[in-house]
Amino acid sequence: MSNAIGVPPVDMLIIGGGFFGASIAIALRRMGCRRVVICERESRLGQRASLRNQARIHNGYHYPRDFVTAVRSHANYHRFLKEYASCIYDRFDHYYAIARQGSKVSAKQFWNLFRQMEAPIEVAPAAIRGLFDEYYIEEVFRVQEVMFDSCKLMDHVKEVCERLGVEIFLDTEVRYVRQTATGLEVDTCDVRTAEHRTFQTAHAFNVTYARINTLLRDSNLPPIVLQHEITELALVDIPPRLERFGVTVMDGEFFSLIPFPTRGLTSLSHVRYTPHFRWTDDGGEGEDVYNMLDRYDKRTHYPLMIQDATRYIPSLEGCLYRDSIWEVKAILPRNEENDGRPILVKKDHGIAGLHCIMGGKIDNIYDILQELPSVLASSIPEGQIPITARI
Amino acid sequence: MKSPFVSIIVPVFNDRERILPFISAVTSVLRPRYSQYEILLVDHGSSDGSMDVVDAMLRQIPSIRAVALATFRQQEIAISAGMDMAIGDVIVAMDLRTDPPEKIPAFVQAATEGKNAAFGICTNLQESLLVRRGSWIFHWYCRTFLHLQIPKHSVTFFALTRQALNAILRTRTSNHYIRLFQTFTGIAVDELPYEKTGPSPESFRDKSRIALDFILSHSSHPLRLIVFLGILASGLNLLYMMYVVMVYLFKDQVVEGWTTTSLQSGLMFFLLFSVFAVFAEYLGKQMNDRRSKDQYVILSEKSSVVFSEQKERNIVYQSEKTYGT
Repeated sequence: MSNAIGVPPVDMLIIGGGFFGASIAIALRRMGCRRVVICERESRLGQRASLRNQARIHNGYHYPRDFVTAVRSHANYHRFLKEYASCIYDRFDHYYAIARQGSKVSAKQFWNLFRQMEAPIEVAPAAIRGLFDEYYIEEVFRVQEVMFDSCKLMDHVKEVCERLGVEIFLDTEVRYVRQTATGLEVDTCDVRTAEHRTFQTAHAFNVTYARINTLLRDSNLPPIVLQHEITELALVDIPPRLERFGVTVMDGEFFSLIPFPTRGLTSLSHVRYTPHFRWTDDGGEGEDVYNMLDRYDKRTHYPLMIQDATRYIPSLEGCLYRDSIWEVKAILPRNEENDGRPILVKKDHGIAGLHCIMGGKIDNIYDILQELPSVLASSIPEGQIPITARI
Repeated sequence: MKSPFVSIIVPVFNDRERILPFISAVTSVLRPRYSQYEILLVDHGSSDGSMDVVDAMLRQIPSIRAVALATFRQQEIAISAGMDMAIGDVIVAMDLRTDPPEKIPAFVQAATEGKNAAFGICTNLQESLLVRRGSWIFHWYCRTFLHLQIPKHSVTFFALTRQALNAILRTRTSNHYIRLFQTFTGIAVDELPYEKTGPSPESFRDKSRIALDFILSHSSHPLRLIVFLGILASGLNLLYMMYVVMVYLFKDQVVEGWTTTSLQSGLMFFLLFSVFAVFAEYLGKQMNDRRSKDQYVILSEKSSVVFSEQKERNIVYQSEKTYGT
């Protein structure tokens, strides 16, 4: 769809075509916005953070020390499952194993908490218990927690976008955002042809996750203080006898070995070896995070991960390493020491109409969609359709 | 043969000045020989800023893990914690003040190719007369009354394969099990001679404290002594009571009230010592039955975060398969 300067202005421009960006675009369209546009620099939607993660749909078990988060995760679980039923992968049994040493929650506490919340939990059968080393693991529970297929998820989201008339511009990188008399001017560049294209929009949403500060710096706007991590998710083939086996070892997520549906493999992540490098973007000078990732000497920590994991589950020795997925994560400094992963919302950041949104968990999407009306409430330009809250 | 994953466990206590040179020395020994290794620093109550030095090191030197325990000044517990946390195929524990890093490969080799366990024997021990006498008494007491032959090898410089490590982790009942490794696991050990690089940090008082702690943890023997004394005392009181009755029966002019008072105090002491003896016996039983758990509390755990730039040249230093590179 061609778009030269002068064609009907955009109401909402979403920078970043990941799950959050696309879902926000859909919600805005349903709220009645006339022209909603997504700009995504990759050649497909959802290639970065939306794809490069453990693909877990949280049901609360991950937050035994944070009752509020656990309850809310649990509440959102079924809603997510219902809405994205075609993207779920559940052909495995998920076990949570509580470690004896270093775990800040005991097996008893874990059990009591989730019984209280009425989240499905039962003691694992003896055959499964036998896979774990008795010395290191206190107890093993079977839970209800499934994965999503990122590819199917983004296909589903794309299909909804197209059905609702959300315009998607792929291979389109947003270079900067500037305030004008009438709203915002968004300068974009085609990554294949280097051709520039400018959009005039009332609102722009910066939903580029870890790369959020690159756009802000290039637009001469204040960057957001963030913690970054270069992380590695190892992908393996598990031994045949563990075919339907998925495990998360607690506490503080020592490690997880769970299906990675998009590639038909199993992902292995470890609290000590998944993060390779950590740094703070303190809002001063800063390098583009993907640039740093490119520069980084990506030597896999898989041997370390499997070395530790086999102490807990000796059968894992039979795993075969296939690949690693690298990504830069963004964490709010306020959550550095705890498990919390709230969504950061910065409305009218630096200039009116530019809203930065950064979420860390895919299944938290409903929280931000509900927040959208209040993000837009204070800055509705002339002639815009009044917002009704129903999404 | 695939090079083993080596874990080095190093307790840290107020070693601010010594840490960096030691780590540099260890790294230079490990790097050319082992494709994978980790150095586990376990702090047990430093107050001189040792952990700040370690924090700075984490940004420069890879493969380091730093753990801080809530325990104060307990080297053997620090080693014990390290043994729980190490992930290597072979673990080597060493004292950074006295043990030579150059000896690490010899220990690793002895463990992997020999009997699964290698302990160091110091060849240049320079102990004062007091320490030597004390040591002799301790060994004699353990041999005679506890029926434990305490080996002379080091308890801070040793290497274990994972099989040996698993064996001792599962059988330990107190924090002095390393001293009795062979007794508890039945695994024979290799003894490797080495020379100390520095003076031993433990004074006579420290050693006495450790010796006493050992004796009390490993037997209720001293308690038995007390029980015996208690029974003896109550027995003597019984005899005394009989003597009092005898005097009353066979002597004229016994002082008014003396018999009653004497009998009463005799009876009281008899009961007291008997009860005391029984309590002591139960206490001893409890001590023997109780399995030591949660010996330590971890305050913090950190790992190296080092940014290494992608290498321009396509050169490697090993031909073996290493994942992904």
